[in-house]
Amino acid sequence: MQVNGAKAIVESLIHLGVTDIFGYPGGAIMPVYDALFNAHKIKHILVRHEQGAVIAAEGYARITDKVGVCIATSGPGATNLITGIADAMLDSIPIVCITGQVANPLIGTDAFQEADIIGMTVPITKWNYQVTKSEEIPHIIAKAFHVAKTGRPGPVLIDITKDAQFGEFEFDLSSIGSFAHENPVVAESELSQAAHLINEAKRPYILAGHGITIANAEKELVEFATKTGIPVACTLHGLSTIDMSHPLYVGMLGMHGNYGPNVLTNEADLIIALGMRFDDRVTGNLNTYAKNAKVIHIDIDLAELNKNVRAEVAIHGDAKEVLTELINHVNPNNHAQWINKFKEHYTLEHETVMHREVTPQPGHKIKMAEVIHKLSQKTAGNAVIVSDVGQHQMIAARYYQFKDPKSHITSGGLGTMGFALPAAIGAKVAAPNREVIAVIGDGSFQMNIQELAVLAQEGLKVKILILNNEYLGMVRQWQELFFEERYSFTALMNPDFIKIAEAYSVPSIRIDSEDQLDKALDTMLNADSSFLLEVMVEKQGKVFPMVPAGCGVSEIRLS
Amino acid sequence: MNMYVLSIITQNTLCVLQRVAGMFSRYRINIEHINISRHTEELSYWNVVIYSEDERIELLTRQLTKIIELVEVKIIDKVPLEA
Repeated sequence: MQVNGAKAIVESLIHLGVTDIFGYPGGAIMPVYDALFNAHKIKHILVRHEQGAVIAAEGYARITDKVGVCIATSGPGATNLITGIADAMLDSIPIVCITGQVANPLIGTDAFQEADIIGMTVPITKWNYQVTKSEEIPHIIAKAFHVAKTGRPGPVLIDITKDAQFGEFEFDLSSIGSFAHENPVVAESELSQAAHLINEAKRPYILAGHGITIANAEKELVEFATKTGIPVACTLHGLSTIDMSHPLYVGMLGMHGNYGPNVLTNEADLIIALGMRFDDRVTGNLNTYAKNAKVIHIDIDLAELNKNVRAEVAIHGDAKEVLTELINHVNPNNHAQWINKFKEHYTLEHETVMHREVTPQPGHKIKMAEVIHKLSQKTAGNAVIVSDVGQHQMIAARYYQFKDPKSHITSGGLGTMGFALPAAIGAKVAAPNREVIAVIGDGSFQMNIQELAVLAQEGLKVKILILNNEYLGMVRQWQELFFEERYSFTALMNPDFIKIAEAYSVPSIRIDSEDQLDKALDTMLNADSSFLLEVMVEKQGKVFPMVPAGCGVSEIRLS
Repeated sequence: MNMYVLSIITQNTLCVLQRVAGMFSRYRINIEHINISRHTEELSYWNVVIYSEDERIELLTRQLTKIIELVEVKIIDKVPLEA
């Protein structure tokens, strides 16, 4: 079949199982848009800024096992993708970004909308490639999907010159070729060593990370923990890998994680790190981190092993495959006394922080935690929570009781403000039958607010919960605690979000008193359309516990 | 601090120099000497001399192995430097 490059791109995507793409047209990508015009097997979602497209692709990938796809034009279209690409790199999200490029003869001439997007994205892509010949397209697109998805997932960018999109060639699906991939083979000796440490440990502790979700190893995690009786804490991206009501679940790790999971890291005699990378937000000061523990570290990325924390047993492998084997090597056990310590710490945290945060206080403004606590109860923990970046993000992570896998989507590594709305759009496109709720701060909302237009145009029933404290709350919190209350440029005079929502045809309400909260949440959840609920919350609330920057996890503060 | 000589084999593609060199600069390791020659039409052989600490070089070589176009990286010489 004789086709042009643009048609070959679309046919290749269809062949690879792509059903949805997020994008924004422009000069250098117009041939592809022309080919999409009659491509009924692919649904194209028109965003309002290319950053929205790439983050929507991330949200799409996070909730499915599929690769997220976005397309943009050359120059500014391509450079607008950069933040999302960096976000996907740090959070190991499989996405393929296809950008148009000026025609091959114009490259290097400072042509209109020419940008060296390949050069710019080298450090933030797993792989990138510039296509200048139409014939290369089927193979390169297929390779992009293979690279994005296998091993530790990540973003791939394919830049395609306009003349390659126009060029005609004999398109043959067999020219795609095949890509073999095998996960690393785990040595029996490594499994035996790990099992020996696990069987001998008195205070073992599982740290579950994003690798569990990526490997679809949630069932194996629970089976492993249940057999060995070992408590499980989750990283921010590990949330929703285990039902939070599970008796072995002890809480979240990290700077704003739970008290016990942080403090008891330094009492554990064995840490079993599953698909996590000992990020600085998890470990605090490495010089005082887990000094009483031996470490078993299991990760698909060899470069993560022994990077931040030295492991006695470092297993390079897929979390699901390793856990499946390990379950057969370990002895049934229980660690009731050790788990009781977590319960004691939980009681302390509950009495000093959590109870106060979720309990209405007459005459006071609504607190963020009250809203999330109520939302969690009303949705029975079954919603997909897509949070942005800041105080509301930590509150959503701390107070929503996640039940099902792939229910928590946020920007963890890069901390990209403006993430939640486009990511929620991507998640809702991928999983239209799940309740997708974007939890957003008033600062973050304004970084990609234009994507509200997508909700009406696509009829997406995304629910938006704005927790408005009229501040860049997390920065304000640090200014209060560590910069002697010099609130340098963190107060926000916001626009009227209700009027904005109305202009974008999104039904909305604003509340500012406790007695309105129940009804407002019900209205949002019962809406058979997109809906925006703005809750005016306490202006100067702070997220505790907190491990101050540079401190060890034992130095976590409750107030 | 040691002087290391690395032997690297990569695919002979347009952007691979930037990708490999970028990894060195990301780890704040200066390239003291570099020689790249085409071995076959598809492969380039690299010889790179750098100064680094042991831990850093281990991290660097592991990160290098993740580059899709990289076929092999080996430390072929290590010379301790006087403080």
